[in-house]
Amino acid sequence: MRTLLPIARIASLSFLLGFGAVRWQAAKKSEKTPPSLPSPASSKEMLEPSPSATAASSTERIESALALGKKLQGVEQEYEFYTKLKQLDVRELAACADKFAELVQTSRSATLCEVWLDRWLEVDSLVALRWLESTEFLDKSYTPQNGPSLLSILGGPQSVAFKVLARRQPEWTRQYLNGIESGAKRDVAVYQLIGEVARQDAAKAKELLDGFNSDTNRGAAVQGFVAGLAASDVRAAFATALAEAPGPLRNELLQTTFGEAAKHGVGTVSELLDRIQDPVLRRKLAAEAALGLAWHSRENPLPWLMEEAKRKVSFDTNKGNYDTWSNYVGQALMTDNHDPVAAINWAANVENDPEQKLFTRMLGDWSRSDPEETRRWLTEHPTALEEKNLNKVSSIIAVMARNDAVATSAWAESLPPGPLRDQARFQAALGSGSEGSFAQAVAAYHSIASGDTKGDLAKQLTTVLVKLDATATARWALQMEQGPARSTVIATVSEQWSQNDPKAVASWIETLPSGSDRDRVIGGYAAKVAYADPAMATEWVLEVDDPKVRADAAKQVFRVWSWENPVASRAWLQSLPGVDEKWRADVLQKAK
Amino acid sequence: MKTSLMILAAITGLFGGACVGYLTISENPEALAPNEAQATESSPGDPKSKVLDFGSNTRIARFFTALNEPVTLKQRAELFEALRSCTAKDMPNLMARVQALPYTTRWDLTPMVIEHWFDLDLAAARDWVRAGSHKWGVTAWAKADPQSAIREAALAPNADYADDLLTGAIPRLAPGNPVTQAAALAEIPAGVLRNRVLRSLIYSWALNDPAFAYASLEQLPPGWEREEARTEILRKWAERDPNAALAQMDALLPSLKAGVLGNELTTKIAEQIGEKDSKLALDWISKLPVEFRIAPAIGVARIWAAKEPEAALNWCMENGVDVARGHRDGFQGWGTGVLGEAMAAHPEATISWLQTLPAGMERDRLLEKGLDDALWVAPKDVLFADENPLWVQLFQGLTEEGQIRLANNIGMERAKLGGLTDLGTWVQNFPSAAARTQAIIGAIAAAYMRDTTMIDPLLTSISSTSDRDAAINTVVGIMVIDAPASAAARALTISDEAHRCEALDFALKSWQKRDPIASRAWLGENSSIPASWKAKWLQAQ
Repeated sequence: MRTLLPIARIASLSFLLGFGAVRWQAAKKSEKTPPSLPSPASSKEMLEPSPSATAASSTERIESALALGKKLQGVEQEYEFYTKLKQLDVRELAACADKFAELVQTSRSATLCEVWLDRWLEVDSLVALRWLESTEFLDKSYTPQNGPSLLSILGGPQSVAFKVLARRQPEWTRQYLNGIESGAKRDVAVYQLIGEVARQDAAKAKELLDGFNSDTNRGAAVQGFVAGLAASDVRAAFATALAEAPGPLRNELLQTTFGEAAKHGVGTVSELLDRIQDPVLRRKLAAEAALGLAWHSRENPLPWLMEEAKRKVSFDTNKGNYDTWSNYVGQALMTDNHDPVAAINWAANVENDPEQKLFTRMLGDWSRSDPEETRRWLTEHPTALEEKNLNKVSSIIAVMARNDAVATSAWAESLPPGPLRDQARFQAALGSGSEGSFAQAVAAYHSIASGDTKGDLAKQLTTVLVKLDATATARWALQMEQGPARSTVIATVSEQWSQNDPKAVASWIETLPSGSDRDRVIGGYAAKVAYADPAMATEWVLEVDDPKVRADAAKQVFRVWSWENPVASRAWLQSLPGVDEKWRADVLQKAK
Repeated sequence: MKTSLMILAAITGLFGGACVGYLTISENPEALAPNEAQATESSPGDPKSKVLDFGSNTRIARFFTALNEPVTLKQRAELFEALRSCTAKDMPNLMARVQALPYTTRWDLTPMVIEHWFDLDLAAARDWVRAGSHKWGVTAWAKADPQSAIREAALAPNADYADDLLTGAIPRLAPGNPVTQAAALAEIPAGVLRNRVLRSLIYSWALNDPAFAYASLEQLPPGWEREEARTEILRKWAERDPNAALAQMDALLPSLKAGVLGNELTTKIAEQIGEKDSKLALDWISKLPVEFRIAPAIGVARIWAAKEPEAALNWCMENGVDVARGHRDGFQGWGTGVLGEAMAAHPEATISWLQTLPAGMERDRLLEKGLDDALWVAPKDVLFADENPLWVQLFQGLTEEGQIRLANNIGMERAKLGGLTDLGTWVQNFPSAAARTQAIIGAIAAAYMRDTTMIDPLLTSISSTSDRDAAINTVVGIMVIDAPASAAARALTISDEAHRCEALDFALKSWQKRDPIASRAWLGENSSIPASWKAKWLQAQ
């Protein structure tokens, strides 16, 4: 024991030495690190300017904060601005309120509005609220809703102002909005108040919501309630949304809920989806949630989406749902992609995607972010590109060719003979076509012309060729074999050329004999001339003999003209000879 | 033995002390910031241990704690402050943690983190960017060390971030000196990369030295990119020195072509000048060949109309410019014309101007277009004010046909404002029955979009049976998209039998496609539907 004691002492001493040495080293190292920021002033210091503060320095502080507020670009400037804002004392904040308000209104900057009001309410709520009551700031910051959804204006200055007010001064906000006339102008205030209260106290928010039961702002109130509640209790928010009468409002409420549910992961999303009976609505919300998962979670949504896509759903009744599904899911799987190849492989073969919209959306996104891998995938999956898909992929290859004609061309030449190589060569030629190889593009088209039954590729080619040499393109068009591609090409030459040089097209028309070619050229010409001179366009329509081409041209002219002269354009269409009566009645009925 | 033990104790003690000392420095806070913790929990794909393995410290914890601040700009200031306290040693750990976050948060945070990393440890930050081809770090690299960024781009010209490196780095070599920047760019071999970078640089040169930028255009290959760059330079030039830009335009004119929308370059430059000096722009336009004139005249006059509506409208009338013609932006984009802009900014003055026009077809046309535009762009509270609403002033001057054409839109815009409870009374503003019906249809459609529960009180306020039927029919038409079952039930409330049958047919067809079993069951059970109708629909199924 006597032996151990000094040993223990030595050990302790050494321990302290080691500890101290490491701490000392660390302290020395910290001297090399960037200088720490001055510690933030205490609130007392912030509120009470030092006795030496003069009127001039006060003005300087205000001007400096305002100047920084005008150019908030990047986090460093934002930090500098916020530091200056914090240095303003209560008197200075009151003194510069009008200038800040003006800056918010001219810049329409919601972030500036938010931080300024938040700061002022934090340090001097009494004066800030009095100022808000005595000025028209909140009223003038109003952004009219220019679309069907209230959500589209929640990012505006007035909206964030009410958000800050609702968080810091809910009672004042409640009283203030009572003074606003019922209607759309009050929506944002109602939304933000109930939303903020719901974040903190769902029961209190429910009471507030009940007060709007038969009010014109009920929709905004329930939207705010669900949005706020979803942040703390997504299941309760979902129940509220689901209890709404079916319609656009309920759809938005459910979308909000699923946006929030996605933050909790696939499990929560699946649980809530299982309570949706309508398969079309379920599919729509699954698409929303997929996007939410891609943005707000690290979870790979692919396995879940693969299961979800197996559910039978009819897209017949609403084409928009099909587009939403394809776009949202496509974007979700290619944003922050975990495994693009697996996702593309799935999309290439997924059922219930009759137009391959999901696949082409994903392939398009991938080709922009990683063209090399996209080309490799295309090479390795020729069977995925059967004839009907090949034309859809053509626009993606076209974009790759425009962005990198050399690489796309080299890839095209490396492909084995077959439709994909022909298509790739054609698109690569078009890509370089914009730089001058007219003949190469035409030759490439001839290798795939037999598959171009509707003339889609011919139209694409013609659009490029007209820009290179419109006269030569017109000549080439008239040399094509009869068929849909030729008709498309002639009409396209006429439309594209007329856009840029109507005089030249008028001269071309003079050289053409009567017949279908001339009719098509005049039809395309009249449709474009209507933008400059509708009355003259109507005369050209009369020159078209073919009733179908005449009707198409007349419809285009009427569409343009009716915007500026509904009376004259209707009168003209009503008396236009040589068109089908049913067609005429239909066009007139659809016009307003 | 004793000595050995003492030496051993000393070594052990030293080692132990050092370890504890080290551990107290690299503290490992128990709690992650809530957002980060949530992100980890909600990401079963990423094991939690992977995130925690990085070995966090208080500085890093402070950074993530800042994410809890709800005020956006305050949050960013706090993030920046926390970031500035981080050392070079913290950065790999911090960046790894940021990269483990969900996409949107990562997108927000990575630029500021990499920028700070470049400030602290250029080599490590550069390695991180290289290793992951992280485009987010390229701007920071170019800012922190332009020379090495340029070298990197030269070594890897095919890397997808090479052009961003050069575009960011070259201006930093010689800020505000386009001549030196152009010389630096000339060091890059001719080709796609150099052209892309030149295009970007030309845009920045145009801000301070448009003449130099314009002269540099020749180095771009001919084609749409050069033309687009030329337009942008001339616009910037027109902003700084309108007369110099117009001199360039005059020199260019013989080589320009006018299409059916005039010439895009001419129009854009005239509009740019018109922003500050309408007179100068219009004087220049008046000297242009006729096929170039109309589009820029509309473009400039609409800017003028927002300031001085009467003068601008009169100028158009005197110079053969149709005030009703829209402002075209290509063949797809379309905005209001001179009349619309005047209506948006000064509705009262514009209405007064319209009312002074001599009676006739032209006045009728412009009154109708004026109201049509006003419904789109004029302030709605003025348009639909309780006292003497502007829409009524215009509406009363319209022909009956015009009234019918616009009634639907008027009803819709009014209902969008909310607060319309007595629809039956409000539609008495529409003298003709056809216009009234249209107004009801528009109002009901907009009210439905706002809040489905508002529909019934509005329907109740309509006393005319035929108007109410038309309104219900509208509801059925919209409701069928989201709720075909409710739409079918609603169709049954239509009074007129033929209209009821038609509306029900519409709703059922949609419902059958969506859910054939439910729709069939409903049809079978519903006793208020005549048997002959049922038979027809059941047979069709």
